[in-house]
Amino acid sequence: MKHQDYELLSQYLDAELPAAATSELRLRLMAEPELRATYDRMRSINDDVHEAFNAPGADAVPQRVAKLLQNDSSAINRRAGWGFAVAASLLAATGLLMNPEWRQSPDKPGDTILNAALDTTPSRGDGWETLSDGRKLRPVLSFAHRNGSWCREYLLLQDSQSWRGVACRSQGQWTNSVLDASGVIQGSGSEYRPAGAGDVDAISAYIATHAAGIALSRKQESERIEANWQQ
Amino acid sequence: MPSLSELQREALLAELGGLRKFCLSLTGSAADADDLLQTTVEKVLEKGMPEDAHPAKWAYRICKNAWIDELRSREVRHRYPQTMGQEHEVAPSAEHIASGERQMSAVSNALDKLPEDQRLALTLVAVEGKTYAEAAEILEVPLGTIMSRIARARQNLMDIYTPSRDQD
Repeated sequence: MKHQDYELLSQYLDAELPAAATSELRLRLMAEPELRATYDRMRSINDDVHEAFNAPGADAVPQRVAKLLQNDSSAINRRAGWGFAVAASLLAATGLLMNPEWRQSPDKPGDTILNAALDTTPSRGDGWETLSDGRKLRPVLSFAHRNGSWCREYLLLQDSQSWRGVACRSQGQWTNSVLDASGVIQGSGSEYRPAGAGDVDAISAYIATHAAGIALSRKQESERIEANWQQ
Repeated sequence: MPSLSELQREALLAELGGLRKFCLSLTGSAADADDLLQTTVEKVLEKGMPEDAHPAKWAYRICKNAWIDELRSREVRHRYPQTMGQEHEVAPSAEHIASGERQMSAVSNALDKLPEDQRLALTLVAVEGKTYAEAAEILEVPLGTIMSRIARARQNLMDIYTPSRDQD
């Protein structure tokens, strides 16, 4: 047999042979016993090779190797690759400082006022929603978490203090997954900045890592608010 | 030190199982496969990865290069597989190990006799299920070269491979 026939059989076995050549080869396989026998032997060997290295345990990764990647904590905190055009238009500057109380207790439970406001306040690019206790809230985007829950990035303003946070909804409650003041921009409060402009911040890193896709559109977010963020 | 983005790191984590199979098919030994996999991951972490690189293809390429480096650094390769699942949480049954080891041993012995370029090409396609185009990209050779190498590998195996069931 010519080497060219081995190439044909090999490509046929891998489903890499063009359609016309495939039809032609099939006719030959029916007409030429030697070619057929060679193909059967080639396929049998291929099956053995495949099975030998696809046996149970073949893809088992040693824990020490997986930990190498899991422990690589120096990952770049960027939004690269995440389609946040919506976020880009919504992220606004605020120009304020952090709140020590929140820093000490970033997952502070029981903030029913903020919780209720995150349930019902649409995201916006500027302006503030004044809460009943005088704080000002600006949700800036909503997105689906990879675990299936809904999350919202927001800005919160109290007197001369502000925070950027991401809260995710679980069992009817919004819980801060990350809360940070270091990324808050000094400015007038009406400026826009592109998503990723402050790309080394905990908020961007959290979203890049945990978001299941792009941010919700206004329409999608409105539907979620109307549905009280039920799945 | 260069690092990976979160997305690259997660993509690589998801690819580790396939990479481990690739390592096993190259080394024919569970212990050597684990070492090669670790070397691959360490090199990826050390060198980083371009933002536009496909994480899986990049990792396979690093793995291939690491294996070639390893071959160059030692002349004698371990030819006999060791017990699989030494560090693994789910171990296959003893009977399955015995049967799998015999088959893997027979296949590995045959693959050992192939030129390395043929072995790499065949492994990517026959074991990992890569397309010719993907294998060509990983091995950095033209598509036609991949076709030829795989065909030659199979042609050679028909002369040198004896299934383990025939040896019993």
